[in-house]
Amino acid sequence: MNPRKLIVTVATLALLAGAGVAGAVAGNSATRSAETATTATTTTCSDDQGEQAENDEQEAADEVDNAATEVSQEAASTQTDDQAGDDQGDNNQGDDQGENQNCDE
Amino acid sequence: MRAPAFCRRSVAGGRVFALVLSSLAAVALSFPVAASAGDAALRTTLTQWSHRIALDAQGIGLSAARRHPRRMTRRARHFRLDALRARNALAAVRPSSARGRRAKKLALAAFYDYAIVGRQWALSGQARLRGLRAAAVGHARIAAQYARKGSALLLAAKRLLG
Repeated sequence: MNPRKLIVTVATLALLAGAGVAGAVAGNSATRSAETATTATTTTCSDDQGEQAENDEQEAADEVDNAATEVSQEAASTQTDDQAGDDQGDNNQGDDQGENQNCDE
Repeated sequence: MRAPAFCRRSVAGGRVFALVLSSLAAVALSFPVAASAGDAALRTTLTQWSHRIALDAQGIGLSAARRHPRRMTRRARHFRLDALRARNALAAVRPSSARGRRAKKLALAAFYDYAIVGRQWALSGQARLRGLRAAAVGHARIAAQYARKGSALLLAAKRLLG
């Protein structure tokens, strides 16, 4: 093989490898910044919750299980519903009274 | 006359060797970084959606506790949509290790179960609004079963990702 062609081929391969490394590092940086953004959002959304749980998956599992318990108890309850409060929620009033902790709603 | 030509050839050969060596080193360095990037992306996606699901579930629990079935139903539909969005987001991630692939399967199954949970909560709320207590209890019971299963799958996925 012509040495010049070989040099060009090898240089191209080296550039491709360099691009691969840069891409992978950029991917890692993106995920890290996403993690940081998540943490920042979390802090903003749940200032009233005190410390943010370090383990989001555990937190999700606990909250879903708690909600399942609450819904089961409510479904079995013979108490009348809070019609006034429920209607107030439908009119989008009162959602900021502590119940709504979702930032996107 | 022959000696300088030999020197030029050996210098050119040395340069080619150095180039080959450096490119091989670059390729070798890129593999571990790329491998960890896929699993890290999966971990980040799982964390983000777990957090969102936790907030949704918290709202549903509060609505149920305050006896607001209409609001609870609306939030349950939102919970279901978020669970389905989480599945789509996770499906787009390509894990780079066997553990990552296993974790992805578990996480997808977990959010599928959570989507069922959201559906059953919404049905329970609707039944409650219509005064169908037995139906409301039945849907809530099914939701609780899937919630337990989904949570176990989610925690298993998390353990695999470390």
